[in-house]
Amino acid sequence: MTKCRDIKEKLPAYFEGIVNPEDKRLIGEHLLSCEKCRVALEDLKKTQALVHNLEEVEPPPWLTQKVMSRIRKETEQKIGIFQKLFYPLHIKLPIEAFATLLVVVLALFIYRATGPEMKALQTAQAIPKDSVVKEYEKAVSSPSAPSTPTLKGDISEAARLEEKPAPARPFEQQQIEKKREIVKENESIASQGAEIKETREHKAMSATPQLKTVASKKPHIITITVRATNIAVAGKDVEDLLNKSNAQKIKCESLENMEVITAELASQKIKELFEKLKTIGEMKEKGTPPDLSEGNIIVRIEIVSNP
Amino acid sequence: MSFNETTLRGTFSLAELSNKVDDKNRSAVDDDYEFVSRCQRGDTNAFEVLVKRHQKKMFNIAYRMTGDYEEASEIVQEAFLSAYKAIKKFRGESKFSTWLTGITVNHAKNRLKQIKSRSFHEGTSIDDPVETEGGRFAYEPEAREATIIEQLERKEVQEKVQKCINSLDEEYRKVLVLRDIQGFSYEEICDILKIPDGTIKSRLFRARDTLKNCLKKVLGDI
Repeated sequence: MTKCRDIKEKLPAYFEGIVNPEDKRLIGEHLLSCEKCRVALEDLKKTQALVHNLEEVEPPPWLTQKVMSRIRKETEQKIGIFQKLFYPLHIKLPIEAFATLLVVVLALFIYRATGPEMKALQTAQAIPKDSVVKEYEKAVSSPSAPSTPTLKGDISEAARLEEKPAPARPFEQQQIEKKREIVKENESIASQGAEIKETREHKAMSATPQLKTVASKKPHIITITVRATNIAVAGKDVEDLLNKSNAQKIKCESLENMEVITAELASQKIKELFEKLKTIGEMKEKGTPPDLSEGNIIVRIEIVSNP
Repeated sequence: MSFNETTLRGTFSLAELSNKVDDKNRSAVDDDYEFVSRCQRGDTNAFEVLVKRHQKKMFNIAYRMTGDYEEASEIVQEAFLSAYKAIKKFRGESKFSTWLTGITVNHAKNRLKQIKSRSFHEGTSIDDPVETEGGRFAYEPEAREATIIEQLERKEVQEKVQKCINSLDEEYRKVLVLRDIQGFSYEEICDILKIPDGTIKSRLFRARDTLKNCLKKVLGDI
């Protein structure tokens, strides 16, 4: 049985004439007997008529002009940049191609001219470290004990001081200046790199592994401050103590209100030294405690007057 | 003489011939094809012809969708500008007018969204009665035999119909404007809105039903 709801759903299609013949027949039959659906169809027709009869609205007379002016403006802007760059093609294209070629050739020329020098500079950077070792060996160490670990320690210290020019005590400042001079000397040697390039490359090759081993076995440095009433007496006592502990490379330096003693000592004897130093005066230790199992330690003892 | 030799001796290759035939078919179907081709080659004057041809229809679609004359002017300008920018991408798979209508409907839809959010912030409703300024319909053709009263009455009715159209949801409004006001075929509407035929029909049914109820409310007896 045909229901009104189904019919109403099909009414728009029926009205437009796009229903199949079977539906058309069924709807037609139903409409003859159903007042409600007939009214619904009438309403639909009237609504369609009202909508369909809506008058066409004229667009503003300036619309075409405005649209076209916007389009032309847009096109001009686009063409403007393009024309600036490439037009007239027969003149600008060859110029641009030539300029590009010139840039490429210049870049290649510069690269080829500077490339070897850059390489020489890079290899020369490895040499100063090696030279610093030798120069500093001459300057600092005694001829009797040319042990590598000491130098390594000092080099690392020198590097540290180079990086961190912290407010230093007079002794440290002297050390820094000395080391800076050595580095400068070596830099001037390195600047002659172009001439002795090949020899240096060889040297650098041989120096690099040496430096690596040096860096891996650098001795620890401990700074100890001892406060004593009599600096001179305490200095001598400390020197005796170091001799008894079989310390090497003992070096004393008298500064204003301060005695500085540096020495190299077997790490096993550090504890013993500490105990003995306490008997001389009030002791203060700087630096991280070393691994006391093996190797040497550089000890820097600063004796200052007890106020 | 083989077929290939014949082809090679001719002016066009097979592909060229097929393209020529395609072009001929397109131009036979779409009156705008020639002008579109010229536009694609950068001829702005050809686009002016297309603007003049289609501006009224596009304007009416925009006007019926928004119910606002100024907005419709803006929408049409934007739609033509977008069409010009994208004309090189137009491959002629549908008629130019169908493609352009799609762009206009999209712009109108976006503008409606803007208006809706603006009116939401300002506290006014898009469904408020459509206010028309004096002279707004100055461009409308005058019914010579109608009296002034009849003209006013007709104008009033049309305003009410437009108000009812404005009250429809945007998705129903689109199909109603395209089908019942502009008379596009279902196939064309499918192309324009990129939705299936069944969806269009069901939306149209709903749109007409809602519109009928609204008109009964505002006009009394239809």
